[in-house]
Amino acid sequence: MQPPPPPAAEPAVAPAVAARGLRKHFGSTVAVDALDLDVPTGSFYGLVGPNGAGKTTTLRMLTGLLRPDAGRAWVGAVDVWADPLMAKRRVGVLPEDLVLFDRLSGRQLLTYTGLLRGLPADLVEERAGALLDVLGLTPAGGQLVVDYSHGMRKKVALAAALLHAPQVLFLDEPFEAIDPVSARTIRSVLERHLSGGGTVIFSSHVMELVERLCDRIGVVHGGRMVASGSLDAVRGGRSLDEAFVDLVGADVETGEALGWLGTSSD
Amino acid sequence: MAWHLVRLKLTLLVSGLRRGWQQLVGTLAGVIVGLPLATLGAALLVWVGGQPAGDVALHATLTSVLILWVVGPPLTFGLDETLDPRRLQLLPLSQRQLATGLLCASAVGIGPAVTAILLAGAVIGFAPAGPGAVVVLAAGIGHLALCLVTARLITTLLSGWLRSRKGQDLLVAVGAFSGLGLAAVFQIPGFIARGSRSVETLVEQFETTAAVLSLLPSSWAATVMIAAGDGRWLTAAGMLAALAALVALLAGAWVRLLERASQTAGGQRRARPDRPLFAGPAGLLPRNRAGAAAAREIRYLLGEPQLRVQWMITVVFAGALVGAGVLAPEGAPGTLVLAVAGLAGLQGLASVNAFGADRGAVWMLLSASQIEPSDLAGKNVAGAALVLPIVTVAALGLATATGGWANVLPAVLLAVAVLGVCYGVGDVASVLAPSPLPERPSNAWAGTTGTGCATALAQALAFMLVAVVMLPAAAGVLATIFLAPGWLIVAAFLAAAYGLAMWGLGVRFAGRLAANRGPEILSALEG
Repeated sequence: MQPPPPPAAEPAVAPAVAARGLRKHFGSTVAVDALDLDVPTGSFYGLVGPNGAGKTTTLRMLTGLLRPDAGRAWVGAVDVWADPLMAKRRVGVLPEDLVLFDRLSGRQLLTYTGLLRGLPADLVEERAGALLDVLGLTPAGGQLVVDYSHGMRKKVALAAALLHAPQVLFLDEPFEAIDPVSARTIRSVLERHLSGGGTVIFSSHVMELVERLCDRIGVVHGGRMVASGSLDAVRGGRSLDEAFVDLVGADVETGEALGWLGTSSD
Repeated sequence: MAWHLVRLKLTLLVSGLRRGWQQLVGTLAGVIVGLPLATLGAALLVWVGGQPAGDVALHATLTSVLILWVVGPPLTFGLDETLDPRRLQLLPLSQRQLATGLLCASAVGIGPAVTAILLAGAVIGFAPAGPGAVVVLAAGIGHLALCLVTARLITTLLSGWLRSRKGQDLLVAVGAFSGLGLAAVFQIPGFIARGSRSVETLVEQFETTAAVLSLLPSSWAATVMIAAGDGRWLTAAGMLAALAALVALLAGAWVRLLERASQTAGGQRRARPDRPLFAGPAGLLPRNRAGAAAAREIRYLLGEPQLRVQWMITVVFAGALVGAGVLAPEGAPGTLVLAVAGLAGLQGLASVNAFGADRGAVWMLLSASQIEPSDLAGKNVAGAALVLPIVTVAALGLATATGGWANVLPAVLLAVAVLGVCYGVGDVASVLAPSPLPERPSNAWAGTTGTGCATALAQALAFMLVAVVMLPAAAGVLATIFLAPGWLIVAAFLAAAYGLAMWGLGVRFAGRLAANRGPEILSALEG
């Protein structure tokens, strides 16, 4: 089965990633429910949603790390679950929880990852050096990853995801708990990836960031895709923040219950 | 404020019971075993008070109690959250409030209760009638205060280091071997007794020990109690004053350290040399996936505390085996050299959960492709590269002790056979029933802690399967030893070939199983 054609109203570009009817439940909780997704090649796609919406579960199913209960996913023309090895060659993944082989140094981790992917040793060394350099990790290259700060872990995991020059990058909350300088570095690396013809899919719940970076977005809520398309189409003339709140239906009133806040005379 | 911290400690103790059955069992064991043992110890102190061995027993008990207070709290750092002053750093507390509160909180718990019971026994056993009893009681209270303040001082002194990754790694290893150390300490009286040729010499040696111990601050309270009992009031008063001064000195030092600890940042990371993955002996490995897996596993075997403990115990057993060969009174037989093959089994059996220490990081393998036979083979080669030199050195040591040089090569070949079978079965088990090792273990031996009975059952089945698969080779070697010892080297070669064949089969079969189970293996390892 070939990946589905893009919707008629969209530009006719081959999707980098597509999914139809993805579903996953954990016990009695349905994490993802009949989710459809189309990500055009070369796009910077933001998968947004509140905490627990099903973003991470979706990304894990799209990258072959979590078996769906139902539905199919494609990377390019490759069915992720029918030919996972071919699909995995084309993607790089930066997970949210960042569990790494952290008893290795940053440089050792990259060497290991490169050889794991079957790259020649000299190419691995060359690319690892370049990535460590660009991401500002060269001075910490010999330090164990277990001793890295959160931002350094993110950057070394991003380097591991980029090492084999994937066509599609899946990034789960890449800017979470990242300082502005590191965020700028990561952004410039991602822009370089896009300019080379790659595609980026990243999840986030920071609307300002998504609005600034993405040309297309999908809004996930309760495991379902409640809106998707170009940034302008989803926003519908509002800010993305307002559109998001309207779509997921969350409007919290603090009311009088917290009226005491900020009144301390001590 | 002190009362709030005492309540916090009590709440933490009660909450700890809800964290898991291990905490519940640990606390119950403390209550069911610790308190009755302390009561028994106290009763013994009451009984020996005034008898010839009483002085030695009192010195030894009080010294042991203080040593446990010095060693215990750093080992349990992180389990008791009131121990770390930095957790209370954000509260608007003065140093005096903080110090008083922490000291009172550290007097709550099973450890302090055990100490109080023992000291109560000492006071009752050694207190004379009349006003001397007050001096003995003061010495008991003074010793309890010494224990609490010393423990606090050491914990605060080490708090930065204990919070570091290196400190916690070392604690896991020290914790794992502390049982062996304790067992060795308990052997000391036996050694002294065995070395004595008469009762008089034995008594003399114990008296010398008591005299040495009495000089240590850990025994000053005992000296006060004994002197008060003997009516040597000047000595009793002098030592009591010294004890009080020591407690005050340590308390002052602790308060100053507490202030410094709450104002200074965490320890600085030292720059490390940038060593490549294939550094040192790993440079011999091929630069491919299997080589990378082996090189990574070597780093893990040397760096991950739980894996490090696994091969360190192999070293300890190797030392014990060679020691037994050297110390055997009648001279051990040369065939004892073959026993070193069992050492390989100790390390080999750990492979039944080969991905346990990788935990959720296995996603990196799956993200690249799938778990492949080369990943498993690499792990096995790394394990063998570590354990075979230990086995060889042990075999050479035993050959030196027993003269069984002809058995050295057969012993190493048998170790290869044992490793081959263990790895073959272990790789299949690792793919079928993987489970993550605990992230922050309080017991480095407990590989299946908190992972449920199913994992332990699967591993027990794997152990049985190892025995069954090993049976033909073991039977062949044993028959050769008894029926045709001259052919042992041939039998050993055949056993090694059999082991390697089983390994090859196991790796391939495990790889085939893993190809379709990647996401399930990852889910299991993520816990």
